[in-house]
Parts: sequence; C-alpha cells; structure tokens
Amino acid sequence: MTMLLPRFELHQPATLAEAVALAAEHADDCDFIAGGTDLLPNYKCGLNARGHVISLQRVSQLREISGREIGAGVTLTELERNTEIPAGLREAAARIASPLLRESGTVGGNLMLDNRCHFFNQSYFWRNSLGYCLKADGDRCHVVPKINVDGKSVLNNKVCVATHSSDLAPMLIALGADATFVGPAGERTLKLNDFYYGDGIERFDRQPGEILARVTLPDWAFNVRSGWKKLAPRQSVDFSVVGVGIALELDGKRVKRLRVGLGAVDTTPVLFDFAKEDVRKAAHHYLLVHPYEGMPDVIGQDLTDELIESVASQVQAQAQPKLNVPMAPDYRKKMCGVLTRRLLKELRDGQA
Amino acid sequence: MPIVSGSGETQNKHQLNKGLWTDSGAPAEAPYNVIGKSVPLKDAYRKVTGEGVYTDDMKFPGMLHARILHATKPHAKIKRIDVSKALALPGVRAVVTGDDAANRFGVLPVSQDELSMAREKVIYNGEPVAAVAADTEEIAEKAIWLIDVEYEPLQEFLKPRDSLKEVDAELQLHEKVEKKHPGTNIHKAVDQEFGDVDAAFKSAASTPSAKFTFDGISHGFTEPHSVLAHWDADNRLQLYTPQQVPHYTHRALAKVLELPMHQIQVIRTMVGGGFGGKSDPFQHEMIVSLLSMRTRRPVKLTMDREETFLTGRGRHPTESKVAMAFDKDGKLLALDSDVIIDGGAYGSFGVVSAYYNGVLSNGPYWMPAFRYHGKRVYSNRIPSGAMRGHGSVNPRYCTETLVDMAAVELGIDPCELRLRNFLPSNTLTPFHKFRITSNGIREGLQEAMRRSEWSKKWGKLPYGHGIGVGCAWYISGSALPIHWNKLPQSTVHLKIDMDGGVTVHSLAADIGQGSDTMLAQCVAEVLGVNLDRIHVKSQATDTAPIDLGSYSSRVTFMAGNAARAAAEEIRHKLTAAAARLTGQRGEYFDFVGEEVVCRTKPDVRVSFMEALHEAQADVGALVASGSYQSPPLGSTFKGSNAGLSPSYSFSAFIAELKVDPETGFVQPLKVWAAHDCGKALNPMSVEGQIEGSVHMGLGQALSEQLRYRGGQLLNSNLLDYKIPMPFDTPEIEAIIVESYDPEGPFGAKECGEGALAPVIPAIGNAIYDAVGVRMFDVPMTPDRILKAIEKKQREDK
Repeated sequence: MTMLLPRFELHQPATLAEAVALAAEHADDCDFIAGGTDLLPNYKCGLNARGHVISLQRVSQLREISGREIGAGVTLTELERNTEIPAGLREAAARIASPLLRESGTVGGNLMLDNRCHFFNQSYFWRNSLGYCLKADGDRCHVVPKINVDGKSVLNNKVCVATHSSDLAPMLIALGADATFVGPAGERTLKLNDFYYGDGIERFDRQPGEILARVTLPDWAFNVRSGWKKLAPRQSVDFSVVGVGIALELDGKRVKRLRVGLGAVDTTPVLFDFAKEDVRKAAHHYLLVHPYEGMPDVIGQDLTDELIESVASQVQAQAQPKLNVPMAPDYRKKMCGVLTRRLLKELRDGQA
Repeated sequence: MPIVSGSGETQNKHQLNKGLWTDSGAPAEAPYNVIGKSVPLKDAYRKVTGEGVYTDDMKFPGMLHARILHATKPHAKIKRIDVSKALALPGVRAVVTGDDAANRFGVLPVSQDELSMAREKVIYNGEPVAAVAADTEEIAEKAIWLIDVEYEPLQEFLKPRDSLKEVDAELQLHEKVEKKHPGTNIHKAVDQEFGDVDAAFKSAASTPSAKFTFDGISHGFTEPHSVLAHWDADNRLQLYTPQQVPHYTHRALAKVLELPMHQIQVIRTMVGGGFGGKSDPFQHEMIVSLLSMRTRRPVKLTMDREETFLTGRGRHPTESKVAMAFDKDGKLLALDSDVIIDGGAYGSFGVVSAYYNGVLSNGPYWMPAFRYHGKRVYSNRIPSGAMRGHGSVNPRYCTETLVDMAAVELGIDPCELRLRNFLPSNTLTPFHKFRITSNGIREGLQEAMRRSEWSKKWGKLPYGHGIGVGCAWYISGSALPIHWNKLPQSTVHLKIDMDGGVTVHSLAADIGQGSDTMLAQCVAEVLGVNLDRIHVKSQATDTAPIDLGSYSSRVTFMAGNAARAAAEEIRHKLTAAAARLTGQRGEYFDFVGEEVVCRTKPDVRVSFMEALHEAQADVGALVASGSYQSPPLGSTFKGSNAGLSPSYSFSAFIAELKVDPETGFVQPLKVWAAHDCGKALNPMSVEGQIEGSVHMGLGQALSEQLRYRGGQLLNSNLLDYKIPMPFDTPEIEAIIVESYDPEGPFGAKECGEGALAPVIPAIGNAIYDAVGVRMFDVPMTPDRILKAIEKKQREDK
C-alpha cells in the first residue's frame, strides 16, 4: 500500500462565487485545493485533514496573468515561462520542486504552502512514536521545547516554529506585491508582506472562507533589477532551506530602492526594506526575526562592495533558522549572508 | 563503448576457451554469436510498457490485505497486547502477534535472532509487533491502531560505543552475543593480525592515520517490499515475493512455520531493485504467510516507503580508526585498523560484514602486514545488513584516503603510488591466500589517467577545482555457501522440446541486474542460436533448481558457468545427432547462426532444428543439468573463509569536480570509471551497472544519510533522504576493462558491486585537490565541507 488518502468530499465549483459559498457552508471542515502538490502529501500523513476539499481548478478567473496581475491559479510552469514578469519571479518559479510538480503547482498554492518541520511532516506512526507536536494532534514543540515568558523558561506549548518554505512569497514581497482575497464579505486587498503573520500554525492573516484570487505587482516592480537565489540540498525537487529574493533600483551607482525577501528561515517570509518603510505589523510570537534592528543606511549610498557586505551581514545577523528542516541552522544562517552578497553583486554588475 | 583489452601481466588469453568449439587461443576475436554484444535485457520491454507484473499488481479472488503495527519505542518491554478491538472491527479477518510464531530465523545460521513479530520486548522503533488481515487496506490500517500495546521503556542503545559495555541480562538485545565479550551487546568481534605491523610502522617513511565516520545509508530501491502469501487448497504455501535470494527465504519459512520445505513454494516476482535490501528472509514474508494460514485466503502486503526504510538492512553506520605505513618509495608496508559497525537490531548478514570490513582491505594492493580489530554491535536502531559493495565500501574510503595522504606526504603522484602497489595477477595474497587470477586494474587506472588527462590536472587546477582517484576490488561470488552442505552453489536445468524453444530453469534472481539475459546469452552462445529462442524461468522453487541467489556478486560467475555447462551437455547430444545426419562421425562441429557446421567441411551443415529433431528421436525433449561449485580456496585459520572468492573484480576511478568554497557545495563534473569485469558478456548491461554504481556511490559520498532523533529515523521518505537527482549527477565515462578470467564464463566476472566503492574516495580525494581539506566524515555534505574549509583557513593564518 502506498499511504492512503483519508476520505473527503471533493467539490468542484466553476466560479469564485460558488467556491466562496461552499467554503462558507463547510466553514471549519474544508480546505481549498489547486495543484494539490502540497496539500495531498500532508493529507496522506494525516496532517489536519478536512472532510471537504474545494477544488479551484475549474475556476477560470484565477488562471490569468494580465498586466500587473497574476491569478492565483496560474501554474508555476506558466509563471516560469512568462517573459513579461520581473526576472526574479521567473527565476524563483523555475527552481521550485521539479518540472513535473510545477505543471500542477500554482502561484496560490505556493503562497499558501503549509509550513514545514521534521517533527510535523511525518506519518501518523512516526508522530505517534514522538508523542505528536503543537502543529498537529499534540501540545508541545519539539524544536524549541522551552521558551522564555516573563523572564522564566517554560515548556513551549504556545509557539510553533515550523518553517515557511515558499519561494514565491519572499520574492513577491521583495517586489512589493499586494494580495487580493475574495470572501463572504467581498474583495479585500492587502500588502502580501502584511498577510504573512504569526507562528508556524497561524502563518497568515486569512479571514474565514477567503480565497486568494490574485497578486498584483506595483509599477516599479517592472523597472527594477530582481533576482532569486535558493539553497537546497539537491538541484531539483527539494524545498528551499534558504531563499533570497532581491529587488534593486539604482540611480547611477546609488541605491534608490533595495528590498530583500528572505525565505525558509522563519515561520513567515521576512522582508528587509532598506527604505525602512514597508514594516509589517508586529507579530505575536516570541521568536520572530527583526529585520529593522541595526539596519544600515543604504538608500542614496553608492552600492560598493563594502555596502553590499553590510547588507549581507544584516540579513545574516537577523536570520534565525531552526533545526527543523534539512541542513544545520548555523550553516543556513551563514548562507543567508553568502546568497545575499552574491545576488546583490550579480544584480549590480549585470544589466538592469 | 570504450573497451580496453587486458595485456601484459594480466593477460590470461592462453587459459581461456578450454571449451570444445574454438581453439584459436584469441578470445577477443572469437566468433561469438551473442557474447560481447550489447543486447537489451530480456525483461526491458515488459518494464517499459508496464506489462511486467510486480507483487503489488497481483490480485487473487478473495484476497485480503495486511498491515503491520510497528513498535513506537526503540527499546521497551511489552507489558500487554490487546487485539480485541481490532478483531471486532468489521472486515478484519485475522490478527497475529509474536505469540503466533516462536521460532527465530535470520539469513545466517549463526545469527538466528529475528522473530516474525516482537515477543516480550521490542528492540527498535519500527519493529513489527502485530499484523492484521482485512477485506481492504483501509480497514487493515484502521485496525492496527486499535491494537492496544502497553510498553515499559528500557535503557536505549543508540550509540555504538554504548553497546560495547557489559550490561544486565535484561538490557542485552539478544541472548547470543560474541563469546569473547559476554554480557555485552557486541554481536561479532573479529581480531586478525598477520606480519609484523608494529615493526612496519617503526620503519615507515609515511604513516598517515585518521578517524573516520560513516552515516548509515539505505538502498533506496524503487519498489517497496510487497509480498503475497496463499495457503492453498492443497495445503501448500505459495509465497510471492520480490526476493534476491528465494532459497534462504524458503529455508526460513520452513523453520518458522514448521513445515517441510516441499510444502512451500517461493515464487520470486519481478524485483523493482534490490541492492542487497531484498536479500534477507523477512518478517513481512513470515507475517503474510501466518495470516494466510490462519484465514486460508490469499493475503497481500505492500509496504509504504517509510516501512521500507524501517525494514532496513542498509550499509552499517561505521566508526573507523585506520593507519597505514609506507616506505619512502611509496611501497605499502602495513595497515592497522580498528572499526566499530552499528548493526542495529538484528544480526542479518552482520558476521560477514564484520569480517569484510577488515579482510577486504587486503587488496587491490599487496599488503605485507595487517592488523584488524572489528566489532559489530547490536543497537536499538534499524537493522543494518548487506548493501551493494557489502562490507568493502567504507573501509575502502579509509584506505584510499590514507593512500592519497601518503602520496602527498612522500611527493609521489597518487596514481603512481597506486601503480607501485597493485596486486599482480595470478597470485595468492600473503595471509588469507585470496586467489587472484585475472587482474586488469593496472590497465584500468592507466586508461582512466589517459582519458581524464590526469597528469595535466592533478595538483594543477585552480582553487575550487580538483581531480581525485580511487581504486577498489571486490569478490566475484562468495566461495562458501552460507549453509554448509555438499550441494553446488548454482545448478541450471535446460529443456528443449520439438518446438525448438530452449527453457532455462534457474533460481538465480533477476533483480534488474540482467541475470536472465546473462543466462540466455550463455546458453545461446554454446548452442549457436538466437537469443529469442531462449526462455528463462527463474521464479519458482518448484521448477527451478537451487541457486544461492543474487548476493555477493555471484550470479554471472556461478550461474553463468552452470548454464554454460548445461548447454554443453545438450551440445554434445546435438553434435552426435548432426554427425549421424551428415555421416561425419568423429568430425568437429561448430554451432553458429542456428546451424551445426562441420569444421573441416563447411559445406556440410544441418540446421539447428534438424539436429534437434534427430537428437530427440526416441527420447523426446532434451534435458540437461549443469552446475558450478567453487574450488577449494584459501587459508586454514579460523575465520579464513571470509572474503574467499573464485575471482575478484578490480576498479580504478577518477573524478573531477568543483567545490564552492563559500557554500561547501560540490559539483561533480565527470567520472572516468574503469572496471575490470573479465569479459563484458553484454557491454550495454556492464555500462549500466557501472553508471548505476557511480550514481549510488555519489549519493553516499555527498548527500545520503539516515538521520535519527534518538531512536526515530527522521528521514524515511525520498524527499528527505537525499538520493542525487539527474541535475546532481555528472557525466560518467564507463571504461570496460577485459582481463579474461580463466574460470569465469567466457572470461567474465562481477561488475554490479565492485564499481561502487571507488567513487567515494575519488570524490573525497578530488575535494582535497580542489580546496585542500581532507574529509573524514561521510557523506561529505556542504556544511561539513565548509566547516573543514573554514578550519583550514583559520589554521593557515
């Protein structure tokens, strides 16, 4: 036997409105599915499976790229092959999983990817042997077993540190994307950077019954240099264990805009906006990266090797990878600096 | 297809072709029909089209589905098992536990330490505890979680060194341990010393030494274990299993089920990869048999990937302390090694592993003094066992690394130093008396050096870019059977009826390595007929004569010789018939192109079918039996049997790669892989084996490791267990070296295992050439390499 899927009822609405209505009807007992490349493996492990699964595959409204808007149902292959979108986004899409998985995986699915942890992404047998964890069926974290609350070290039964491994998310927040949701209360648009929020369980600010409809890039995203670097044990298939996406705008030699999106080192993607403007609302948990603490002045300065070094040091210093995905945390932390430095140099020295 | 002919001292041409049909003395030019030709494997079309039937494809009327409940503790007493809730679930037909089968089994007669399911205590997280047969897989899966098991945890043995200590009887994982170390969890200790090792080290000009560690690795075969048992209407057990060694499973089933062997038929189904991981008799084979006997219905069990990892039998996690001594000219003087291998929960092939980790270091170099202390320990981890290159791969990394270190210290090119030390052909090793016959390693290394432009590159490439070499040898079939008896190691039966089809019966298991095709080629060659006449039946124990199966790289050598012998017997009959038909009595006949041709009068010939029908007059179908048994070999001291083989393969690999000094990532660029397989019966297949070995070795070298948290395996799936993907795999240039073994069939010897070991040191040594660091921990992951580079940078300051 391969691992069996738990039984669920599959719904296949043709419009967003129908999908929203179904989600309202099944409230807490449903999941959306598009490509299924993330959801179904988790279901097979018995991870938070629901009784109803609402497929978005027939919702054609979600499947378009037009101008600055990218539908959530666009496949990763389509994204990778689109020459109109910023280079960094194409590069990020092209390194996700494998060619076969990119045929089914979607933009929305990648942005809503469940967080990963080697105590969570395991079979029922394995988690039973462990005694389960906070994120599924249990009441404690095995990665960070103790946390500091009011100066006291206590058992961690509050904060899940599962890693957010999406590749598109850090790239899109670097490019300043907005996310638009459709739900029972109509449309809602917010900065993608504000959408990601909270610990490895809460993960983002999604209201009940909402569907991610599209992401929208700002005009400036089409006029900057952008690029993506991914660290993963193998050159295909694997999830990122560090991902760095950069949007860089230069005025001559001077930095006009520099935004670094860092992936796979915390419970959410992390934005380093060196203009210090795009600061997301405070997160509630105890372990978040603080991108703006000690951030060097960069805007208006010449992008010298020294400045690049200080940008890379900032990213590396603030990254807080955990021992819950492949490759050691201290190594991954170091790689945050290496990848940032390399990518920034490539973007500076290459053609805009 | 690069094929290098052996020459000079490795030439054995004069000894080849003692057969009846050629006497030209020039085997390379012999007019072979099918030998030496690249032919697709006989089951290739079935595999490609999906027509091949694996056990999981099989469906029987009334068939039940089984699931196993695995232990959720690494070491614990079983206080209570209550199966009543599982039995009460509608659709559940039977539940079995350890109490249903008391007899222990194991692949080696000296290590009968496995139970079908745990009794009284569990000794690893994942050990089978109970099993359910139900109408559907879903019901069976639901039912196993209704079985209530109460455990009382015991102290866990997770580090091999903890297993060396004396402990209370309750904490011994098995009753029987090494006699020299009573009261411990040491399974087997091997201590050997030959020659004056200490004196050699005192007089040496270079004495490199290091501590090495190797993580455990898994075979990663494609098809998970899948078995089907049917206790049939004739009260016989039919077991369908993708086994590398059906015969040992047959024996173990008889012991566990307390049935005479003839009441059991083992039917080997198509094997979706084995690599040693399907060569033990298994608990799941016992479990489905017990469930079928209980229900009198066919019962199928297909494992998921995690269970396949938990069943284990991969390469032993290893800690080695090794030193070598060389004189100023680079001549090897001695080896001193101290090794602990982590056997996990069971004995498996471990006694052999304990020996091989030492004795297989007595080649491919002449070893004048040798000391080995090896211990295999039991632990509360997944059982280790035999995996491609069994027992030779990890020690080979140690020795090849130390040889490289000596070369650098002595200022001698590492290839040159190796060339100065290779064993000659046609010799005995000094202590174990391993009989070296054909040996093409010298030609292989020289060819790999030439093609890789070694002398232009080694030590001369820019920082971050390197080239390295690794050499190896391996047994071509273990010369001693696991069960002591007087039977031949391989027997092959042939049957030819009036339809002209040649049926070959053998129990040599085709596990994807192409042994069916090899048998067909050997028979077709002798009879001078086309391959499509030959039909190989190598599945069922009722019809196939015993063959010891596909392990220790024995099949081509042993079953190939048995097939050749059987075909020669048929050929004698056909020769007599052709002589009768043509009136050319006493003449010599060649069998070529489906014709039987008088050698001195080539116009006088009859077709194969005419000769066949004449030979069948009055007797009907022609039948013949051929067999192979190794000659007496080796020395006489206790334990001297380990490592004996009628022949040995040799390999010399060179790898070129780049190391990113900031990330520690290795990008392998190319591997030149020269392997001496004696004679390539099917060059395409040999090339495939070499490429597969390189790919598998690359995985162990760079990324594959079994990672644990306590007693729990962390990465029991193919996303987290990092087998290299196509992008991670370099170009491979397979160089086939033909040294014409005097005893191998048509000069052939093994090529499936020996070609793995040299990959890993070639990569390690290339990393040294690239960035100047020696890697002593395998796999050489990016973080380990980066740490080593940073350490060197600190030291260089």
